[in-house]
Parts: sequence; C-alpha cells; structure tokens
Amino acid sequence: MNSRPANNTFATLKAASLWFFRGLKRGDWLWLWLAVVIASASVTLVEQLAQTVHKSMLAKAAESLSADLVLRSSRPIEARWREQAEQQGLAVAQSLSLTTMAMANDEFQMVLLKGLSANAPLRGRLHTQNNTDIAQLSADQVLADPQLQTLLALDNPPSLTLGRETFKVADWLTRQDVFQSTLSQFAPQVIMPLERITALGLIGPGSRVTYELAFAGEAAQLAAWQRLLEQQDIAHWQILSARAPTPDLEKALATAWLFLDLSALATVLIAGLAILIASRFYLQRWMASMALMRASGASDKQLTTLFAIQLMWLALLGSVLGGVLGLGLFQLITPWLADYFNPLIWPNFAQAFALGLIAGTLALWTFAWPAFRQATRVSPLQVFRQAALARYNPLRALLFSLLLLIGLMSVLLNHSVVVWALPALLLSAGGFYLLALALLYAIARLQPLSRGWLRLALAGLAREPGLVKLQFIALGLVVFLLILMTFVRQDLVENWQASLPQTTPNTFMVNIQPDQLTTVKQHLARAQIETELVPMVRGRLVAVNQQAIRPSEQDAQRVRRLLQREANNALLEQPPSYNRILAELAPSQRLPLPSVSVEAEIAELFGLTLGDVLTFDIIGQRVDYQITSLREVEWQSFRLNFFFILQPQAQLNLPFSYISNFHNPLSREDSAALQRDLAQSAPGVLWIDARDMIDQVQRIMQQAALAVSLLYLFTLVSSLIVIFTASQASQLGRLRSWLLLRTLGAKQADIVKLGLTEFVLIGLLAGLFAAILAQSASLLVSYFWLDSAPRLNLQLWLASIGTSVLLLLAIGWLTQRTPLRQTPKQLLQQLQADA
Amino acid sequence: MAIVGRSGSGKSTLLALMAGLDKPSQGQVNLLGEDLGRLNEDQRAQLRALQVGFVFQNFQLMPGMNALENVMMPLELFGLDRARERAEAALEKVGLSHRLNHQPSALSGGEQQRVAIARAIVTEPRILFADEPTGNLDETTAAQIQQLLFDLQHQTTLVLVTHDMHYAALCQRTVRIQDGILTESV
Repeated sequence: MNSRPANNTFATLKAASLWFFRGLKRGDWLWLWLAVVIASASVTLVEQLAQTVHKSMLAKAAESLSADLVLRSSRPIEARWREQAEQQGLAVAQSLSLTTMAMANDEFQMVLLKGLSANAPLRGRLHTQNNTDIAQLSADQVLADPQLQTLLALDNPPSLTLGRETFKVADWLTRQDVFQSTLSQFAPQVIMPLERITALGLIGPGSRVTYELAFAGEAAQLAAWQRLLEQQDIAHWQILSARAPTPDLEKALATAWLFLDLSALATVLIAGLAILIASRFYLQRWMASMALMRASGASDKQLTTLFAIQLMWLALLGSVLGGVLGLGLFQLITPWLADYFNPLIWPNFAQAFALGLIAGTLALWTFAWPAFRQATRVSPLQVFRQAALARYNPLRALLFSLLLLIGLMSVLLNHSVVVWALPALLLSAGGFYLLALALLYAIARLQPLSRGWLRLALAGLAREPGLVKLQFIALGLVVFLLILMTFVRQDLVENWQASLPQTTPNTFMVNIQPDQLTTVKQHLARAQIETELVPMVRGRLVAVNQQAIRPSEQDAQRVRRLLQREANNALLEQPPSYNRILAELAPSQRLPLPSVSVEAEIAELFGLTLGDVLTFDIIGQRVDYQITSLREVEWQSFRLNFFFILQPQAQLNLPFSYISNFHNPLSREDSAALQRDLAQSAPGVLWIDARDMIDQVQRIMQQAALAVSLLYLFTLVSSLIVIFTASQASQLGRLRSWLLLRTLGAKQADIVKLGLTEFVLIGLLAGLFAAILAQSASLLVSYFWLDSAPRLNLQLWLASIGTSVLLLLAIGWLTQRTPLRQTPKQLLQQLQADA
Repeated sequence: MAIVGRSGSGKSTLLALMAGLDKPSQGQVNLLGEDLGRLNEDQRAQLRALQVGFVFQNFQLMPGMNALENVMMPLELFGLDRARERAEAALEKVGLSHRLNHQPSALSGGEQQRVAIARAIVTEPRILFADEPTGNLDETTAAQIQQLLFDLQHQTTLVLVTHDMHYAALCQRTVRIQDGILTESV
C-alpha cells in the first residue's frame, strides 16, 4: 500500500460534491430534485404574490385614507398628540370635516366640507382636474365636486356660499376615495385650507364635526404609535389604519388568501410526498452503494456526512432554482397585477426567496432523511448477501423535521390554516393507511380464489406491501387534494361572480322625501332603470329591555361607535328576500309591540336575543320594538342592507325618507343628464355614483381568482410528479416478475395486461376513497367556509375515480412501454445494473 | 490462498469474518496484525480502508457510475490524489481503457468483473478478498478473469473463495471447509 487516507472531512466533502454533480448530470437525482424545486417555487411564489397584493392594497388604502393611520374624533383633538407624534418622527396632518349646506343661485345642497392642513394628504395626492394643491389655494378659493355644477346650477366662473362667505371654485375634484367611505361621505365634497374653515362660523356647540389627525411613517413607529393611541381608550376616538381597508373587501379577500395558503401548504406536502416516495425508490440503490463503501472502509460518520452533503447540495440547487422559478413566474404575472393594483408595490424579493429556500430544504430533509438514515445503517455484509437491515425507527426524525416544517409554514401562512389543515391531512393519511391494510388483507384473501392474469396482478401488489401502502396513501392524498381544490376553486370563483354579478348595484340615491317619490320613480322609469325605493329613518339605539345603554359604558370600541351615531334603519314589514333569516320568534312569544329584525353580527356584538325589546331614539321620539328575527347579511353584495329593519307604524308619524340603489346601465353622459333633471325636479336628492368603487372591487376579485387559479395549476403539476414517482417506485419489483414470466414464456400481451391491471387497481381504489374524502371535505368547506349550501356532487365522484384511473393508466403505459419491448436478456442486464 | 468447499459450507461467511465485515460469535480473527474482535464496526472499517480490496461474484458496481467513476470511487472516498490517472491506469491493466465511460448496464459480465477488479487493485491493497469472482461468468471469460487476478496480485495477498478445484490449485495454499470444519488440503 502506498497511500493513507487524506483528511477525512475534506476528502468526504470533495467526494460528495464530485459524486453529486456527476449524478446530477446523469439525471440520477431528477425526481427528488424536481420535488424540491416545486416545493420551493410554490412557497416563493405564494409569499411574493401575497406580499405584493397585501402591500399594494395597503398603499391603496393609505392613499384613500390620505395617511397610514388616522385618529378620528367627534371632539377637538388636543395639540399635545400632534406634538408627541412629531417628536416620534411621524409626519402629521390635520383635518376637520362637517356636513353643511352650500348655496348658489338660491339653490341649496348638502355638502361634506373638509378643511385640510397645508401638508395634507400625507399619502397619495388630491385628484383635481388641473392638479391644484391645497397649499395653492388663496383665502377665497375652494376645491369642489363637479356634481355641484349641476346640483347648484353654478355660473361661470363658479362660486358658492358657505356660511357667511362666498368662495370661488379654483379646481374640480376628479376622484372620490373608494375605501373607508360611508354613505354620508358620498355627499359632494368641498375642500379648503384648515385655517379658513374655522373662520366661517359654521362650527357651533351642536355641530357634528369630525376632527382628524393623520399620521405617516415607518411601519414599526406607526405600530407603536397606534398601540399608544389605543391604550388611551378614549370613547370618542376612532383609530383607522390603512392595514384594515374596508371590512367587506377584507372578508371577500380573506377567502382568497385562505385558498392561496392552502394551495401552498398542499403543494409543499405533495412535494414532500414525492420526496418520500422518490427516496424509497433510491433506497435500494443507496443501500447497495453504502454497503460497498462500508466494505471498502468508510466509517458511519463518513457515510452520513457523505450523503448529508449530497442532500445539502440537492436542497440548495433545487431550492435556489425553485426560488428563481417562483420569482420568474411572479414576473410573468406582474403585468396583470399592474392592471389591477395601482400603485403596485413590489416587496423585497429576498424574504420570499429565503422562505422558498428554507421550505425546499426542510421538505427534502423531512421526507428524504429517514430513507437516507436507514441506508446508512446497512451492514457491509450486504455485499455478500441480503442481510437483515438494522432496525431503524424513522418516526422521531420524521416528527422532528415535520415540526420544523410546520413551524415554517405557520410563519408563512395563516396560523389557523395550519392548525386545522395539517391535522386533517394527517388524519386522512391515517385513514388511507388503514384502507391500505384492508386492501392488502383483501388481496391476500382474493388471490387464491382468482386465476390467470388477475391472480398474477394481485400477487404483484402483494409483492411489496410496504410500497403498496405508501403508494396508496400518496395517490389517495394527492387525488383527494386535487379533486378538493378543483371543486373548491370552482365554488370560490362562482361564489365571487355570484356575489358581484355584472348587474351589481352601483348607484345609490338617498334623501328622497316622500313627496318626491313619484317624481323620482317617473324619472327612473323613463331611463328604464328598475329599482325599489326603501323607506328609512335615522335613529339611535338607546335601551335594551328598558335598560339604558350608554356608549361610555361599553367595552368594545365598535359598540361605542355604533351607539354614538344615528344609524339608517329600514321601515319594512318583511326583511328583503336577499337576507337569510337565521332565527324567528315564535308567535306565542310576541308582545304587542312593533317588530324589529336585527342583523346577526350586531346582535351578537350587543348581546341581543330574540324577544328582547329595543328602544330607539328617532329625532327625539323614543319608540319600543321587539326583536322578532335575526338575519344574515352579505355586506359585500352592495345591495341595500341595514342593521335594523323596523316595522312601519303609520300612527307614529316618523320623519322618514327613501333610499334606493340600482345598477346604472346609462353612459356617463346620459347619467349626468338624468342627475341634472333629478336635481331640478327633486332638489335635495343625493345621487351617489359608486361605479368606480365597484369596478375596483370587481377587479380585485378577478385578480384574486387569477392568483387562486395559478396556484391551483402549480398544485396540479406537483401532483402529477408525485403520481409519477409513486408508480416508478415499484418498477424494480415489476421488472423482476416480468423477467421471470417472459423467461417462462408469457406473451407480451399478457404482461401488458398484468402491468396495467396493477395500475388500474391502485388507481381505482385510491380514486374511490379520495372521492369519499373529497366529498365529505367539500361539504364541510361549503358549509363552514363558503357559506353556500352543501350538495352531493356526482361530477366529483366521476372526476376523482376517472382521473385517478386514467392518470395511472397513462403513467403506466408511458413508463412500461420501453421495458416491455426489451428481450429477457436486456431486462436482466438492466436489473443487474440497477440492483 | 484458496478457500474451497461445497455450496452452503460457509466459505463466504469465513471470508466476511476474515475481512472484518462480520464478527465471530467465538474465536479470534487477526487482520493485518489487529485482533478484529477488539475493534468496533468503525475501527474495522478504518483498518480495511485502502488496505483491503474486494472482488464479488455479483460484481457490485456502483449503479449510476460509469466504469472510470467506479474505479475512482475508493480513491475519491479517501481523498487520494491523481484519482483519475490512477483509475485509468488500473482500467488499462484490466484491458478496459476503451470502455472508461460506459455504464455497468452497457458492459458484459466479464467486463463488469474487470471493472470490479480494477477498483479492487487501484488502491494497491495489502490483501485482496475475492468471493467466487468467476461464478457468474462463462467458461472462456472465467479463464480470462482468473488469469487476470493472478497476473495482478504479485504484491498483494489474494484470498480466493471458489468451488473450482482447478482454479484453487493455482494458489500457493488451499484450505477446505466442510461441515464448518476447516482443513488444510495441500
């Protein structure tokens, strides 16, 4: 002997790297590598997509809010809050607004008058025709909503009177905010510098003025500042953050994010299954190699290091490529995103890339390490004969890595998804395992009773029970996830389309007085607009079961706010058909009082139950109503919805007006003409055009549907890879029995029949059980998540079983084609080479 | 040295014990001056590293590695320099310099065994264990492999397990194993 082993660690590192890259070049690692690429790409894409949409929406919301954070109060806000915020490095702007009457040419119109400090808005800009800024306005100038031109028949140059003074309109506002708008804020706006508004004499002791301090700055500073403001717990304060744009939109989008999270989770787990199966496929090969290296003198540590380094290389290259692929796919969809989100905020890609890298690496270690570890325990005696494998229980390692993976996924995804989706998947896997045991038992019983090729096919399945279990679990889970996601996605998109159809109401009319009703109806009928006019009255809830409720005594800020202001209450005998009645009071429990139907969430918030008596203050009149029903309302539908629907009482003579909303089919010009006519014949009626807002919400929904479909496609591709690797895992055993059969004189047709029967049997059974699971899950998802009626879906059963059988047949045919054409001698050579 | 005996007589088990691949339930085995019974699995592996070579009946080539890579394997595993040069020289010695980049599946049985022999001798081991190296080969190829093994083992002790008495006769010493009893036959 003329050499000694060199420095072991360095030699092992070098050898491992050399062997890895040689193997990679030959395609040895293909299946494992693909699985890692998919896991990492999907996590990167989902993270980047979610961050982009989230940040873009945040920026949009901040623009609409004119700031990152707004402190709104019904009383003047002390100067010390502004000073303190500025000391903390935040930009601060001040504003106040009040609803008042504007006058011109003897016409009156209710307007929302806003006074802004010179640096407002802190985010975005004022949208005016000639880009006039608030700081450019002179003392006698205002910015105004162009609707006022028609509503007040303004002269040229236009001017209007507010309080004691007359102002020239310096420029026209071109866009209203789409988020954070309530109906009253849709009154035509007039904007002027803050210091001018206080001099108008419009603010008196009884005026309803809203004071605002707006803040902008770094996320961390803002969060701390928001906490500080919330800790003050001041009843007349309301804190608005750009982080929570309209609650309605947030709810609709939450479903989309949930689906995206589930897709990412499913993709990583599916990729994990691919790794688990592929590593079983490589196990025989690894064991042969390791036995030989052990015989050649490699130590346990050296073998472990050798393969761990190869695994690291695989994880690194797979994850990096996956990350790049994920970001590349994101780049591809960016043009669509830019269509829907303006401004489109690009988050730093490093975070998504890093998460993808970690996800790919962890998925590989979690699912491949048990097989690796088992291979490193191989006895060197294996080079002589099939030695018994050292007992190794991979459960601990698998559990540890799985926990790491779950930890990562919970950082990335919504915690609640991980909490219920993972146990559900593990339970399903357990179910499939039990079914696989039952299947193997049935095979053992059926085999002696069967004959011909069926008997041989059953024997083929019974040949490697461990592998059959694994294949069955993997196939079943993948088909289950795939079918479930197909139908949930379909339901989701259909639900969105149904919630905001093309005919979604996009125009509101408020403040229609009873004597204007006929005129308004005639105008609308002439324009061929069909609508219902709902009588409503403004009133405030003041007592429950004769116990006074005071805003200051309430814990929840939302309750306090609702109690402070007058709400719009419908005056209807029955709730509208588009509200779902959840509970009704039995006629025997009814009191001789008018009835009120309460929206379910508000009932829960106030702790109201059926039969309670509510007292409303309606312009000074106190009226009692008994709760006779609780309703569920879809706020995101843009239909007319109310917290309280009061039974009309003719004798009470309440000061009611009508409200209406409808889908406006007219062009912008025709719509303006109708508005002008209405302003002349029914003065004071407020026409609110929400087309831009609905359009934007519809676009966001479409965008979310696109993101959902994209992720779904990704899951589909990764599923196909799992099914492919699952079928390849048992290839060696299959080849061995074919060789034997061919040697004994079996015809090619018999072997084809035999091979395909194995595939069809597994496909059929996995598909059947997947359908059972998918149907159950789909029913649960429909009921609890999508709020839609659960239904049995024949399509789902056919798709599940059909997809599963056809996929396996196709994969079987593709993978078996070449070996079937080989002569027994060629088969033998291939087996020897692979052994 | 040749170890001969009938099928199932324990020839391969004896070889495994001698090479430290297995531990005896009783008795003592010394390899290269070390009592194998006192060494653990890793220490026995360390003793074999680069000092012991193997040739197996079923060749045991690394799947997925070509002929050259198979021969380079032990050199690379232990970080020896000039691995490629040495492996090419070893393959040339066994007459396979024209099949360097062929995968095992593209080689005949005789060629696969030549690769295995090249891999066994490339580290110039002090002792070479061969377990029925011609057992899976036809007569002509077996004769060529026998010749090759004897030509290459001048500086190495060859321990050969075989049931071919003619082949065993070429060795300087032959032991027979029968019913678990070892007897010197020559």
